[in-house]
Amino acid sequence: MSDDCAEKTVETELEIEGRKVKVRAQMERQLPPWGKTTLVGKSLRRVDGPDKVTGAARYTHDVQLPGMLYGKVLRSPHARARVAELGLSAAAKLPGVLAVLGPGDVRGVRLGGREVLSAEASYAGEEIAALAATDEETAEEALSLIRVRWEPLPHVLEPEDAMAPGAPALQPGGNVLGGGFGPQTPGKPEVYERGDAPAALEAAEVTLERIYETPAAQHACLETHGAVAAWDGDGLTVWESTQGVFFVRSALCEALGLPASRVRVLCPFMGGGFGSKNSADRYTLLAALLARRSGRPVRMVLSRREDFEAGAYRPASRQQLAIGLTRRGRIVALTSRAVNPVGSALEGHYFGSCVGPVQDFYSCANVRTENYAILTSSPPPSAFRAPGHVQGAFALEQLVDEAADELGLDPVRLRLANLSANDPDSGLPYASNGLASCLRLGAKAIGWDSRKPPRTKTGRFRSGLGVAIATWGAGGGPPAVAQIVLHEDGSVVVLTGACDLGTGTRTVMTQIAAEELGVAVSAVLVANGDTRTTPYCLPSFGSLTVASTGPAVRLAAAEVKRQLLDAASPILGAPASSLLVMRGKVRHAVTGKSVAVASIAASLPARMIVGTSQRGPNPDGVVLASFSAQFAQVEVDCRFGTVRVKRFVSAHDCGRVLNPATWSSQIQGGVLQGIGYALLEQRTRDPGTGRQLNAGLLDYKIPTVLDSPPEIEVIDAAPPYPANNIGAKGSGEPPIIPVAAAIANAVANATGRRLRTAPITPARLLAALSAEP
Amino acid sequence: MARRAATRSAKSPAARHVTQIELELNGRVTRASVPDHWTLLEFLRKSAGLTGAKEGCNAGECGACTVLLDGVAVYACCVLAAETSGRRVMTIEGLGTPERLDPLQEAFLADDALQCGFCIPGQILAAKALLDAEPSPDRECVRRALSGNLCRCGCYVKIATAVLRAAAARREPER
Repeated sequence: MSDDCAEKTVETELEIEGRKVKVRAQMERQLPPWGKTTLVGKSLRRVDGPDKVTGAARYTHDVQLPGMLYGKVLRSPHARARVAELGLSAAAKLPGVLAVLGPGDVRGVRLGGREVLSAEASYAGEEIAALAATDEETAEEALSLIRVRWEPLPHVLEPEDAMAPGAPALQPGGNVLGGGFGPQTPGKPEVYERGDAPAALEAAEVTLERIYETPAAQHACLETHGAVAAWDGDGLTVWESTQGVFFVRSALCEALGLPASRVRVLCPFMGGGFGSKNSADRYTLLAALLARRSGRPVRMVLSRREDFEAGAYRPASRQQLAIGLTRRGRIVALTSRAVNPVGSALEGHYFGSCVGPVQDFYSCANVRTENYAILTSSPPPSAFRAPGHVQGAFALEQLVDEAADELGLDPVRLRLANLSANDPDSGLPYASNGLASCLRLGAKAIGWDSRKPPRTKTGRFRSGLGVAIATWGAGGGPPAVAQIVLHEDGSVVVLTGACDLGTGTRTVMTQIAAEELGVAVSAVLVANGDTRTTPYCLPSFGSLTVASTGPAVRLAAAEVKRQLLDAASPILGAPASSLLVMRGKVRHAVTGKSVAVASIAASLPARMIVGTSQRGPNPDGVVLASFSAQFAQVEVDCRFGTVRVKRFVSAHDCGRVLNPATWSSQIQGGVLQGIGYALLEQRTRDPGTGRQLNAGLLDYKIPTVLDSPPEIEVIDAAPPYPANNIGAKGSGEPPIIPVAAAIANAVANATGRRLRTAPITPARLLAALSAEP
Repeated sequence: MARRAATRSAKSPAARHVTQIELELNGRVTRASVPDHWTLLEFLRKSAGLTGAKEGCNAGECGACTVLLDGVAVYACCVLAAETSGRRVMTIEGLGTPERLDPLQEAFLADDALQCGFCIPGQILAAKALLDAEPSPDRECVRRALSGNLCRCGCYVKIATAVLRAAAARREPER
């Protein structure tokens, strides 16, 4: 790196999944904003699209290695039980079985603070033993030969039961933990406070208090979790369907005591993540351990049932909210007491804090939140697309609507009147904020002015309009390193650690590099997601990939261009400052004299130019957030209690849109997942055994095409964003945050009934319709 | 390309019963010996080296393994490999290549009707079965025909648009 500022590092802040963290960052070279762009901002086709539509794309599921074994896991059928005896010998003797592991064989191998195989199951589906065999059928037969004598222990699935006196203690400190991120104080919630919310509520002209409940929802990635592990001497290669190859690597290194140089993690293609694939999981480690024991590569891919039963989920919530307002609709107080059942362990797991929206959606001087994490006999939770905010927005954004109804005010106007010019928590200004534009443009697009009160609606089919908003920290930040290599023939490779989850990372990074370098898109190849060959970055989570890696790619391209122009200067007999790169040629700005990029590179002693750059710090004194306002038009069938989303408008401020096509796909996808969360999805379990009853895609209902509105209108309402060199913020998570509340508000507008429990099932809706209003 | 099923240990339970099959796979006559209990999906992925059909559930719930059997869209996880003898199977690999795309594949790219891509081979083949039977569907008809193919990334709006675009392209006379 040639920048003279390369040695200076500063502390900077970035927000990951609603959590603000401090990191060190290297000062970066300041690049002026792009003027008119030729590639950035255009709907370039996905560069990996041809591979995906022809079946050529190789996912982790598709990896086949010579001699590869199939790994399977024995899981607890009990929600809580001790393994009194474990007989593995019959399984080990079955021909074709090459490795068997029980808890005693892997003692001390830990992931997230817990042993990789457990002799005491703390949820149904927990990993007890693992084996690998030459084919899947043999592996399954071997599982059936494992003898276990279980000592069942009392379990508890629901948070109310876990908090009740006399409940079985799932951890020595008791079942009640503070939610959030800080140190946990047993028995105490995490408390956030600004102003004096109880006093302000007491004094408010109007107060409402309501309880909202949300279900445990599951990611259901079409590609189930899985890994393929192969050893070469003391080196380990792992293909993993993951959002972050470097997090997988560090988990493997830590658990197995290996240096980072000896562990290679790759993820060329992956079939969906949504927060559930941020790091390694037990199956990853088991694949590596079985491969080491057997001396053969091992494929450990979860079945759909396993993916549901032992896999990731957004925890349920029960949120008691109160709002205080003036008669004219000014919000003066907000409180939330939130209970989140977080399964059997928090350590090493992320569940998201559902009190966030109460803290940061509206201008309000008096806020108090209490957040409880309650241990239950369930799998550990995980991040799921805007963890916490999706639950929190379902509650807050309905409460604000209920307040508007109470005051006889228009819900859009009430929101506009209470938006905050500054971040309500810190008081610092936003680097940019287009939320009011999102509300205005979205309202116009959905035809908000035609909205009628529910009392005017009769008959079996009733239509309604609803709105909800979101704020989400999505400014990204360091660490993110990019390297660009210009080869002797003028072709360019962009190296980034970022995995492409299907969001278009490869395509957008291609656009950024080609734009800055002045070369054709066809000259650029993005190679990504490989810890051996690509530089470090965080996982593709927290809506941060574009805003973290994008600026690093532009910087690396600028560095390559600087070297290129320096090399071209003597050839063209002109100072580098008078040269520019256009359409694969270095050209004198005035004379037009030019030389091909390829011939410059070929003339260099090194035959290549390498530029490496890293994402610099975020600016101090401003808050980086993306914003969204969403509008639903629903039709309620009052006879059958079904809700159809007829139209949906999704307006966003996520800064510069780098590729409208891939961007709108991601927005529409967030809306679809929000529709599932609002109307269809919930994990259900048998209370007696703790086993999941709907651990399959037939019974756990994710939206089909028939649940989708025919069109989802996506609106870009972004003002210019100055806080990084590409002008872009994140857009992965904002589109799911307000959806369920917008739909619930539309249902209330259609029927006059409030559905405060998600999902809004026909049974719940019919019960609400038959009750007194 | 036909390939023998992997040889197994004689004692392996999976090797006890095998059947010889001969089918037309992506336009080529293909012979193989497959365990009786193998699904078409297992044969395609483990033996024929065709991994375009994905296993999303192995239970006929998600559609990621959709292939064409005698021109009809089927879930390959719900068809036994042994049943395919004497029949025609088309997988996504038989439809087009990155260099020579089928109009459906071209339309999916043009409309950005994909994200992670895992469900896309199945979506495209379900759409092909529809367009082969009904060259001029409307949007609702497309939605019904694809309702057995899940997409968790949520590309449904653009997928339906892409299928309508492909239908129009297929109706255009070749120029």
